[in-house]
Amino acid sequence: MSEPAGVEGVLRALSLLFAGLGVRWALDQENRVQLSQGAWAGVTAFAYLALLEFVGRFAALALALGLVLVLGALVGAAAARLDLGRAAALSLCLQVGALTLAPRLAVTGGSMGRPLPPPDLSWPQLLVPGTAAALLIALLGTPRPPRPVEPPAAGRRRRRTGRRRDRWGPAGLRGGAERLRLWTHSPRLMASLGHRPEGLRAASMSIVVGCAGLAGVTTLGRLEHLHFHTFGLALSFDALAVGFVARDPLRMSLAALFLAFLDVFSTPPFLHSLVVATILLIGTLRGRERASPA
Amino acid sequence: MNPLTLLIEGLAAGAVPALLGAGLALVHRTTGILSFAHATTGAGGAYAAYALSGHLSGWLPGLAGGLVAVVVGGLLALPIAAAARRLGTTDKAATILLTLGYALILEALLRQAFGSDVKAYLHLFETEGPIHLPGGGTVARSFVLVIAWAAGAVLWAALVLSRTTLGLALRAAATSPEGAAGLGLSVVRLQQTAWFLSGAGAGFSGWLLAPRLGLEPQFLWAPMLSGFVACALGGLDRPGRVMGCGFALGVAERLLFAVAGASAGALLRWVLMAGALLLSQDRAKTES
Repeated sequence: MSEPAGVEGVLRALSLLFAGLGVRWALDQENRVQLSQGAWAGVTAFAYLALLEFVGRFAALALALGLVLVLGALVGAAAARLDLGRAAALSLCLQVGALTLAPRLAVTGGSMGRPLPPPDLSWPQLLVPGTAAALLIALLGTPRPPRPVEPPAAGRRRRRTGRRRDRWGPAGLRGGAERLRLWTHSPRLMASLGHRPEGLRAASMSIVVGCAGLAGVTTLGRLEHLHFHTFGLALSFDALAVGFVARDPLRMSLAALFLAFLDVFSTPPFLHSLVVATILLIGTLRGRERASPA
Repeated sequence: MNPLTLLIEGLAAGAVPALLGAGLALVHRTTGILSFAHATTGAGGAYAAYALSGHLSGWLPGLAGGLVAVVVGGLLALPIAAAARRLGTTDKAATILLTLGYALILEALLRQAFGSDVKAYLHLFETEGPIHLPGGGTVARSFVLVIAWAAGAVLWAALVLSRTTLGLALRAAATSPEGAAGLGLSVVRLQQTAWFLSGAGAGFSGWLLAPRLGLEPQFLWAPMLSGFVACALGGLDRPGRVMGCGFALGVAERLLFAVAGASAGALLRWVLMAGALLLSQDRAKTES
């Protein structure tokens, strides 16, 4: 296999892994099926390209990611109380709506798409997205089942400095995830303890769409011509398959690599769809295990 | 624009989402599953009608095409019923995945058999030409025909569900599966019937919409989403109200296009749909 083909495959895989990590987060923390990763990836990619005309690369990247994080938070807060079916329908609505509107927008280049500078498909180009993937995996961690709720011990207060440090580090992120899982598993209990879902769901959705955003900008690194169909339902379903294949990042990465190289080797779309469908059906079986009493 | 033209075009636009939404609600009420494969089973039915049109000539393909779309759409929904029963899962995420996985397989098969390009499929009942309305307006003949066909289907479904033994049994199985089984009804058979009827409605919807949009494996996804919104507004377990909401949604969308123009209307249409889903969350909370 040539170097460009290998790099292209790994970049595809990293895109899928980023998007899949978001799907996994949505499932584990919120028990939601995220079907619009493609749309969020597209919003980030086209926002980045639009911003590049005014600012430098890093500023454009930061602004584009910031934009989707804010949009994601708004959607997350607005949809905080939707049940799983309605949330999945809303997610699909965002994906199909974005695809319908994309040809009408100048920033997407309409039905013709947008030309990009020729990509540099050499191995060093993988350094930045690869490091980002490693960092993201380390930050999000391997999701765990919720712990039992323990009331705070009377008469004891945690030191404020420690709490503040925890809140913004990986432990704080996992603490937030813990509360989110508790919201999913026992919403009445959390409501009775005075918690509201909006803030947590907003933060969680930001993480989910942030992952999709990273997938979007990673996609730009391997294309000569960007068309909005790149971020269509197929990407969302691939991300869904990667997210549902397993809990641990290693198996997710392997699934992403497998799906990515199916495309690089121009496997018939029929076979690709069959693989994705099989993974989804495996996810169904795992869901049965999850639903059945231990 | 003439208000009557607006109303007729809106009702025609809402007819397919109304039928699709009613099918979704029927299955959800009977089995508790929200089918994301509904659009693809409908597309399968429409493709079957299209395939038939190549083998017959004269007026027969138009009539037979609708019938084939109904039967094939219904048959294509049955594997989901079998898989869901075999899996025996109640986890909603798992059932959504099951239906999505099935939709992907079906879509891949359709692409393999018919290709990915958009196929023009003009059947007998899709004749062009305007109808002059009182007050000076005109409306395309196809819109009136779509409303007539959809109204016929709605009437038939209402009669079956409210006046027949089958409808009574379906309602009994939806309300209390244990009670229905205690009365000697086969709940599994009734759930299969609900899936078949739902798929048949999707196939019919695909047949109705194919001349306007052209055949493509994903051509019913957007109308299915409107169907979801109708379900969210009308209540997932109330097929009758879902139909009403589907028609109302069509009129509201047409009104948006008339007021805001094509580009803004397209954006506002999706804003309206997302807003309707979000507004339905209070109802969801109450149901839970």
